[in-house]
Amino acid sequence: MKEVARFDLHQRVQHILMASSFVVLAVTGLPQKFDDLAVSQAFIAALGGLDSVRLAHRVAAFVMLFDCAYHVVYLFWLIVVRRRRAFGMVATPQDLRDIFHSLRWFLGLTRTKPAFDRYAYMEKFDYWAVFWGIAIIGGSGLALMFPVAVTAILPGVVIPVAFVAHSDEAVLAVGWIVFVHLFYAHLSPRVFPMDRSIFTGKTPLTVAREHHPRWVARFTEDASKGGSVAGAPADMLASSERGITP
Amino acid sequence: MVKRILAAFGLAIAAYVLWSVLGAATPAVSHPPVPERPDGTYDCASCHGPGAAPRPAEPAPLVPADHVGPKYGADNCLTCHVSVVKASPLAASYATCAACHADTDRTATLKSGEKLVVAVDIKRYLTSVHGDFACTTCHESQETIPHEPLTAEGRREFTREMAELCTTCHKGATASYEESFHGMAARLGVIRAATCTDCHTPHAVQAAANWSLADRAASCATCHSGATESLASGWLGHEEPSAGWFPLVFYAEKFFVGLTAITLGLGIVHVELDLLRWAWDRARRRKEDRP
Repeated sequence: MKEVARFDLHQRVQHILMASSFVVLAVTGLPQKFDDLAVSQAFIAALGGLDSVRLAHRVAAFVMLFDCAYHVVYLFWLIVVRRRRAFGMVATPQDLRDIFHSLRWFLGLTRTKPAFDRYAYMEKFDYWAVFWGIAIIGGSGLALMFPVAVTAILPGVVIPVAFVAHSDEAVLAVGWIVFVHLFYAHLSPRVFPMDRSIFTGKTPLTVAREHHPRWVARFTEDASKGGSVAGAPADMLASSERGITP
Repeated sequence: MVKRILAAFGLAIAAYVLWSVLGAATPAVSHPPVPERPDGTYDCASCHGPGAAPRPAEPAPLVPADHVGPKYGADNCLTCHVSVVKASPLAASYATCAACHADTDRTATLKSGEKLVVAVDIKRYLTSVHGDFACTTCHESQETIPHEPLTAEGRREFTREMAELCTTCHKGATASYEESFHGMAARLGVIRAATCTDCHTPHAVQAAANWSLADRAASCATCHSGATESLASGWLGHEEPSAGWFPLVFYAEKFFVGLTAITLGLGIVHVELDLLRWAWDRARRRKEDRP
């Protein structure tokens, strides 16, 4: 089975850090939001009380913030130091065309599926949603953790606003992961039981051809021109160097 | 005849109203206004102290010789002689309690061995919003003398137990407290989480309108060391945010609820459409495969 390299080691480690810290944050955060439920109270008591739950929540929060810093430094290194054109996640007009194409396809108005590039619009949305989520939940979480220090600089009203933002935005994040992200990564009949690429870094060429035909077309074309990677997404270089692994 | 009966009725009602108004009126303070020192404490000694100048028009009895000991400090007169400044029908009951609780060093020992200061600054109490209540209105269990032993394990447990009393009358404030992060932490068993008296003090409760931002900040700072007026200004009090009260919080909540509903709604619709298209394709393929 031929495989295509899709994610490098840094990206895989970043996803594991993000996923594991997210699970800990959700599991320790939701019982605090829905604290009047008996199940929340039993869970908090089982973990040794609210202080232990908060400690776990804060440790996981710092892991997630570290992960985000790691990703930003990694991007800087990739783009500025190694001069790779790692802009595969940037939204383009093609994404807008793909959205309308998808809708027509869903509704049976066209016989062709949209031909996605390396990252489909849903993947881009997942990616950028983390930036928004970290800014809102991370920022408000720090305000709730250090209310005295934060109100020394900002007006006091930021604390109740942070409380609302932290708790409501967290429901959005958990809802999105459970209902949308887990569907596309696990439950969708096209990938069931799971899409392993984010852990192994590789995806079968047949799968890549089906889901990301424009991407495959681009690097096979480049490869046919004598292995040049010009035009291919820059962070694919490592995999392109290895080419399509048999 | 009818007119006479009506007149008699009218007279009776008028007499009843007059009687209830006069009967309910609080007795006036017979003592002349008490001079205050620059620090706000009552200066009883200027008339009743040993060196006080004689006042033929308003003779003032000197402090009796048996009034010696820790509870008879210079500022403690009002603890027993409260009717001098406050004409409360309940004022008389203070004297019984004050006989012991005016002693500022007085402590009780809790089960854990912790000492609990059981003295009350009577002047601050009288000017607090609860100043018209007798001690036993809240401290019902202390009606018998000698008192029943305290049931609380330690000081925090005692504070939490006493805060339960506040909830008897302050229903609305209790409901909003339960919604706050302090209330949530308290419900989940964090014993140090702030409760009623931690912010409002036990015996010097001020009406919210008379409570300065500096005083609020000082209350916050008892737990959140270094708390400024800026932090205190963000406290919602016991009111839900609305368009007129903390509008920023109110609209932030609306924004995030809307954002969550729209984003999750679109995401779920996308998933469902995708799934339907897959099921449709599969059904069609099966139909085509059939001989």
